[in-house]
Amino acid sequence: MIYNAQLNPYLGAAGTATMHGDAQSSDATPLAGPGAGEWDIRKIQLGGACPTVLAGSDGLIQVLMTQRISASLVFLQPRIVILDPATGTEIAGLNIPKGALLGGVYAYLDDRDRMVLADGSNMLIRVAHSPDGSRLWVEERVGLSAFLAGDQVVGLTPDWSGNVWVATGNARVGVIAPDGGTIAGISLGPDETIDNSISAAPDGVSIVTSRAIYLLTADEAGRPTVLWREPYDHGSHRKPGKLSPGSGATPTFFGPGGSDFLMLTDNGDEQERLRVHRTADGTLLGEAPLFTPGRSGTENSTIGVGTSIFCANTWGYPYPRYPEGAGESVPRSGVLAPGVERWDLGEGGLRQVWSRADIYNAAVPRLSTADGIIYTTQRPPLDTGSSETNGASITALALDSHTGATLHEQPLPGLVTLFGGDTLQMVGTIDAAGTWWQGHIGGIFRISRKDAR
Amino acid sequence: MTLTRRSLLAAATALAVGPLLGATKAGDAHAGASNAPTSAPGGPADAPEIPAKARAFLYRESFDEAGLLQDSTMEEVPPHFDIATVPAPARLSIVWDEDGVYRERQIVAR
Repeated sequence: MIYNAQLNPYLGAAGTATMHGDAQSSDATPLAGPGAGEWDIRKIQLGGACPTVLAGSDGLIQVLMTQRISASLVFLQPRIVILDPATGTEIAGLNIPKGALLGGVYAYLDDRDRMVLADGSNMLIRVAHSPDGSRLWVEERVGLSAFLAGDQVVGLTPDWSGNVWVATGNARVGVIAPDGGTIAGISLGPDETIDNSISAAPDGVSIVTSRAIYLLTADEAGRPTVLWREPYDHGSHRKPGKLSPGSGATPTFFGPGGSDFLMLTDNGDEQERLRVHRTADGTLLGEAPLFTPGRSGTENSTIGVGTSIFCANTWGYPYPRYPEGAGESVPRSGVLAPGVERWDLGEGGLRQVWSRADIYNAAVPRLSTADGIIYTTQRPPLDTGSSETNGASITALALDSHTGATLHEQPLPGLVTLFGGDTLQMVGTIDAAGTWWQGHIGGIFRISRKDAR
Repeated sequence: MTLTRRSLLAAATALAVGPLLGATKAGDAHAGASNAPTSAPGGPADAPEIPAKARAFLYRESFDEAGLLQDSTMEEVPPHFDIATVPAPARLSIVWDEDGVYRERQIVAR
């Protein structure tokens, strides 16, 4: 497999510039990870969850975290932290005005290593840092108050023309011109919501709402235009282990040319389906059922490289807190269900290459095309004899992307608690030195080769 | 096209029409600003024409040392309000509906 996602000129380095690696949300990286030998694992406590871990061209690790102000997790204060890549030590931090739960999660690094995000004061900000990482400041900002009018940004991405696209909880889409002087916006539908980030490719920007997947572009005047819309089976309820009704996952561009196809996972009540569309016109090229019926659901964006797709089940994952308005799940709770699968797209549609029904996935898997390894974590259940309950410890995993075989597994230090250790279906990012930075609920795990420090 | 647009933006900045751009550059000194038409590339000449039905909102804002918003007040003003009469930091958002598309132009007082 060769990493082939086209480089967005307004983003930082491929594989480390967005939560899902790149504009296409491939969840892949051209960088080699720590490999399948013994790892040196350090648990770094930062006082809150680290869902977005990025690395700039200067090598510094930039984290957008949500600080835990109280044990009940009611008050979450976003904070940008810069970490020393060699040690994981915090170099500097900047508290950001609090907004929506997801609004404090999605960010990207631009082509000048600035972190771009929408803060809780309705500002789109670009946060720069000094060369040594010891100072952070807002270098540019665009006010979004008038556009948002009480709504909130949940996802954002630059397109190939330098426009910044923002998606809101109430399914509004805004296009901010490169100079920040104009904004144009449309509503995707009164009955739709957006709960995850958005993805971009040279052909357009894709958004998954609670009802449909879209491909949009900006016209000459910078106005967002829907190129195509395809509804999907959004199901009748939110499942345990998912943060929202509907798909719950960021769409992924992939394909032999980097973005020929666009995929999502739906929310079928009994069993979710993987759906692959042709980017050019939305034609459905293939669909396939995922995981075990009755315990099938994923919050995780898929990995997409070439014609290969990797999916991980999150049904039943015990999140300690849900976004406002998420509502009760059906059933009200469940124990994490296993499942990691590889599917390939061919002439006849989707074909399953391998399935691991024994892996209880606990992070957004990241594929390194340099070493062919999928890096993720798992949280095996506790077997109490009479019933199954969620496990209290998590291990880090290296899976062979070609066969699905476990190449290496090593326990992460500490137990799963509100104060640390739970990887919470968050992503891990691999930096240029081959270090895997895996967010957890209380900070970050720094995972490197044993002999590399 | 990408390089062209970036070049235009760079040229606009070099021609000191930055104050006409919506993006606030933290640390900029106070300067006058206007929503009057200009032919500078990247500036309002490229911006959409503001219809008579547009509404305008003036935001008076304050920021901390790191450039984060600390306080903000908003009041509605006439669409062709002259923001040069307002001390920085302040921002004028002119908004209107264009065949169902939300449109906004921002002008920042410097």
